[in-house]
Parts: sequence; C-alpha cells; structure tokens
Amino acid sequence: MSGFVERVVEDWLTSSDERGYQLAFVSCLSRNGHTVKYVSSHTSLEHGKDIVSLSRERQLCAYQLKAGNIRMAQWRVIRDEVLDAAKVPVDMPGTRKRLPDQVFLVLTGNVSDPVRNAISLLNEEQVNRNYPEIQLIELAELVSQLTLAFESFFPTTLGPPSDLVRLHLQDGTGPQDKPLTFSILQSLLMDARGPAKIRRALSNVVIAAQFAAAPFRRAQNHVAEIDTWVLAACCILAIAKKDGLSENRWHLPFELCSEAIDSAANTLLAEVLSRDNFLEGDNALVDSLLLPTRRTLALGYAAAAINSRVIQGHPVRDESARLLDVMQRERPLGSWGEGAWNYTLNLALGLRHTPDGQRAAEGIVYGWLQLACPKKPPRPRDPYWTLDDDFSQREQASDAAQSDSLKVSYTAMSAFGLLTRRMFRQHLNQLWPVFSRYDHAVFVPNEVWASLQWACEQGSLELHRLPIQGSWKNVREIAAGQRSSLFEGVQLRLLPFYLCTYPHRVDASLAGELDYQTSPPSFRSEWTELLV
Amino acid sequence: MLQDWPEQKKLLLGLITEAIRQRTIASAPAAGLATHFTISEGEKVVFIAPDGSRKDMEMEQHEARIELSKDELLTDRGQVVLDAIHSIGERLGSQMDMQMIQRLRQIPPSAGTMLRGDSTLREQMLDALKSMDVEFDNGDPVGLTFLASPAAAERLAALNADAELKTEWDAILEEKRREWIRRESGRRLAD
Repeated sequence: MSGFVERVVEDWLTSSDERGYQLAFVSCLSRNGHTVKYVSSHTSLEHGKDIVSLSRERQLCAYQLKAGNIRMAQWRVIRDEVLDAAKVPVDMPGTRKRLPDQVFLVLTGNVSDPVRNAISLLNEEQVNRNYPEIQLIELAELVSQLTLAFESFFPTTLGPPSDLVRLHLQDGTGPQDKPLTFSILQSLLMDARGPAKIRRALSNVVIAAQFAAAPFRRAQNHVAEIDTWVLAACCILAIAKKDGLSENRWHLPFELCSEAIDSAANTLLAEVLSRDNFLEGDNALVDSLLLPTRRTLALGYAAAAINSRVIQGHPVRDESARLLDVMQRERPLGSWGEGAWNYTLNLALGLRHTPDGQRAAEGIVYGWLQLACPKKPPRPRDPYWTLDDDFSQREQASDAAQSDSLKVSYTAMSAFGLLTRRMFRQHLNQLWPVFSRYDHAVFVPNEVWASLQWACEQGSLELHRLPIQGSWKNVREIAAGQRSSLFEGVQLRLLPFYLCTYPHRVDASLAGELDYQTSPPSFRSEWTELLV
Repeated sequence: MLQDWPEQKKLLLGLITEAIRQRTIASAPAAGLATHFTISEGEKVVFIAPDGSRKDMEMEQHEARIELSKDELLTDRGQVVLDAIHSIGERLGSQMDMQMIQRLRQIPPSAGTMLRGDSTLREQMLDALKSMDVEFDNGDPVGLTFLASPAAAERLAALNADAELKTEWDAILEEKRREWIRRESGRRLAD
C-alpha cells in the first residue's frame, strides 16, 4: 500500500504547479505542529516568501515553493529571490520584525549538482554574515511527508483510498463526483477527537481536497475545482459547528479552502467575461446540445464569484456590467428543473450592480416564478433531479415528471420573497392565484449545520399551504424573515459558492441571506422596514 | 478480466430504479389516484396549513425482495430482469395501497368519508358530496374517488345506472363548481 501511495503522491506533485500543492504543504506544516502565519495566494509576500510559519520550537520558518527541477539557468533567475527570503526580515502583524530562523526552498523535483554546489557555497557566505542557510526540500522528502499524511487518512481500509485515487485519475474535464468526494472528505473526520487529532484531521481534509482537485486544476475546469474546495470547506464547517470547535481550531483549514475557491472563481470569472462563446471540446455538433446547460452553470458560478466579492467588500460594477453583456449574448439558458434555481439566483443577484442589470435581474426572477409554478403541466423537476439524471433519462423525463401529481415547488417561495422585498406587489398579485395553489416545500434538517452535509437522513420536509386570500402585510413579513444563520462572519463569503455546489439546497432563507449580504446598505435598511 | 462499462452500469441502475418506481405507482390504484410526490431527504413530512397548524406524517418503509440465481441471469435474455422489476413494483404498490387503506380506516366515521354499503348508500353518497370541498381543474372535479371492496363496487356500479341519482349528483356537483369559482375568485393578495 505504501509503495502505491508514494507513486500516486509523486505523480500528483510532479504534475502540479506551485499553487497545485501549496495548500497541501501548508496543511502538512500544520499537521506537524506549525502555526502558519502567512500563505501567499497569488504573489509572494515581499522578498520571496510564499509561506511563513512558527514551528513547535518557536522557530520562524520561511518557505519558497517551486515546481519541477531546478538547473543552473533557472537558479540564476531565482537566486536573488531565494536570497531575499533569507536576508530580508519578516515583518508581519503579531510577530516581532526579525530574520527567519530557517529558510527552505521547496520543489517538486530536484536541483542539479551544479545548483547544489552553488547553494552550498552560498550557505557558507550566509553563515559568515549571520543569515540563515538555504535548506532544500526536494521531491523525495515532499513525497515522504505527504505520503505520511495520506497513510494516516485510511490506515486499514481499502475502499476510500481507491475512491480518492479514482477521483485523482479523472481527466478533469467533467464534473466532480460530489457525493463521493464529500463522503471521502467526511470520513477523514470521523474519529477525530482531541485537539491534536482534530488539527491533523482538518489538515488531512485540505490535503485530500487539493489532491482530488488536481485533475480539474490541470484541465482548467474551474467549476469542478470550486466544487471540490466548497465540499472541503463545508466538511470543515460542519464538524466545527457540530462539535462547537473554537475558531482558532478550524480557521486555517477553512481559510485555505476559501483562498483556493477565490483563486479558481476569479480565474473562472475572467474566462467567462472574455470568451467569444461557451463551446467546449472538438465536436461542436454534439456540444451544442449541452450549451444551454453549460451557460446556466458558467454564468451562475461567475455570478457567484461576483457575489462573494461583494460580500468581502470589493467593488464589482465593471464585472457586473460585463456579465450582463455576456448573458444577453449567451442565450438560451438551460433549465433541467428546480435544481437550476441557485445558479439563476446567483446570476440575478450578480447582475444588479448597474441599472440595466437590475432590470434584467428582476425579469429573470419573475420569469423563474412563472417557470416554477406553471398553470398547467409540465412542472419542473424537483431540485434533487441532477444533471446526470437529466442527461441519462431525457427520453423518459416527460412521463416521469408528471408522476408526481401534488403541486409542489421548492424554489417559488425564494423568488416570491425576492420580488416582495422589491415591492413588486402588482406583479405578484397577478401571480398569486397560481402561486397560492402550490404547496411550498422546504427541507428542514434536525440541526442547522446538517445542511452542510451532502445528504441528510434526519429532518422534515415541510409543505406550506397558502391561503386563498393572501395578505400583502403577511407576505412582506415572510420575505423579511427569509434569513439564515448557516454561515456567519468570515464564512459568509462561501454562501454564493455553496448554493452553486449544492443545487438541492434551495431554502428561501438561504436565498434571502444571499440577497441581504449582496445588497447595498440602503436596501438592507429598507429590509428591516419590511418588518414594520 | 474482460472489458466492463462501469459508468454505463450506473446509468442502467438508475433506469431500473426509475422503472421500479413507476411500476410501483402504476400498481397502487388507490394510492396512485391520491395526490403524491417524491421525497428525497428526511424521515417525515410536515403539512402546514394557512392558519399555521401542523400535521406530521411519518414515512413507513416498504420492502420487497427477489432473488435471482446466477443461472437464471446467465441463460436469460433480459426477461428475468424485467419480470423482477414488475414483481417488485407490484409488491411495493400493493403495500402502499394497504397502508393507505389502513390509514383511511383510522379516520372516524363522523368525517363523512366512509360510507356504509347498505340500503342507504344512495343518500349517503349525496350527503357526502354536499359536505365536501371539491377542487376543479378545467371544469372537472379533482380527487373524487370511491375506494370500494369488490362487493361494494358492484353496488356502486348498479347505482351508476340510476338516472335520478345521476341528475341529483350532477346538480350538487355544479353547485360545488360554482362554490369553487367563488372561492377561487377570492385568490388575491389583499392588504
């Protein structure tokens, strides 16, 4: 088993760029008792330091990460940067400004002998000048460290490791297997008790997630990459909320997942805004049949990136305006059922940072309400109907869709709430006769945190029946109350992506929370007035 | 090892599961006529009325088991699997119907949904219809279903030929339709 794991880990490392193994390496440091002080997401913290940590022995350690082998030509290019890591003091909030005690050049390959000699000579000078030596962590040592982590995942069982390896060996162009990925990540946390074991288990989740995301990163399939990291973040949050862990226990692994999500999402957003079309693969004839679905997904995830930026306090007007242009070009969008709502919701909320986008957003939501509650069949499939189900059963879909005779909608209440908060009373009055004939479904797990799991066995499906004569006042109160405490504080940046990765979590309170968090202060203050 | 198609097998399993589900609904004439929908998560359903009152419905598990021998599968040309799907579906459907009948039996007679099959059946039918709230779709009543034993079904069939009963029945139904229209015309968002 050990030899096999080593080969798999080596294969992963040698086919990754620096960012492709950075988070796993950080998690290894954390597993080994380091307190990680800094991780660069895009460029090095000034002067060549990708990672800064405090070891168990309180030694300040700086790391610079590279991919592949380093020969003399490359060494000449990076030499000064590596030296800076050793010679320039670390200046960060919370730590005394000082030179690092240890400096490491980490690479997923080996240095050539001439480079090794050059470093050796350099280190003699370093010692003479009271600077730290440049130490090497090459491929073998990196493989060894990560193999230890992998072997601690599943000491005895065979199933999950083979599943994890199977995920890693995908070609990366298709979707992530979300139920399987969540199950694997969750199994890493099952027996974690006590601070040390929990720290290791949470680090293992990050390592496994980076491993599972690797094929998608290589294929530049950012949607699937985002999904993998969202599942990891939700795993971490689920155990944190379930066991009441203090924030310092889960903050680093959660932050690593969030950084990975942001990185993939920003790249995806840039791609969506710059492409001429959304065709993929080398057979446009077949691909054109899948294009509407891809449009919905791509625009939904791109909008989620915008929404997350808004939550983090960044300006997004330009991106929002460009997203509107792209959306107007990329028509029609696909809808395979109520499972498309979360992408539609993100898109609507991501568009409304310009006047034209605001109007388009309202039209999108109003259109969804009519789709979710049609006067006559066919009615859309429920949000548990996946794209895989849709692709595989399209011939039978028209018969199967009608076998559910109760008029139920999982998403109409979310859309209705959104429009109510914008005072669309006349439009909603027109829709009320049809809307109120539907029972409105919401799944309520027994514990709030359980919504972070992929599937919940324990919980109730609530079916709300509306009165024949509705009260506008009552409807406004309901709309104002559509808030969720599933994500709080720093976790809120995850909400837009969570909705994309979990398309079956279509609770109106989650939609309302996203609406609230992505709205300007003036709209939020109007929100509370709805309750008056 | 001979080549396999694991991904296609997953698709086939999904198709088999869906076929069993459809056979189950088709094999439950009583339950199939009742309004129904699919639940994918959770262990109970809570119905919440407009006045906020709640009614819980715990779900009961139905099971059906069939064993197919390797010999049967090796020599079969697909019929055995189809027969198994039908058999499982029919058994599950039958269990659903039995569960529904048991639940109906728990409803007290005063609710007016249970009729005695005696000489007053005709009057009981008209009284029950008068006391019900009937929904309509495209002018047709929705959900008006008699669930009867074979003997009772014969008596109902005999009553079907009663022209006077039909006239009275249609008159009450027309009144119910007008009641429904009046009710539905009030469907709006008021202050």
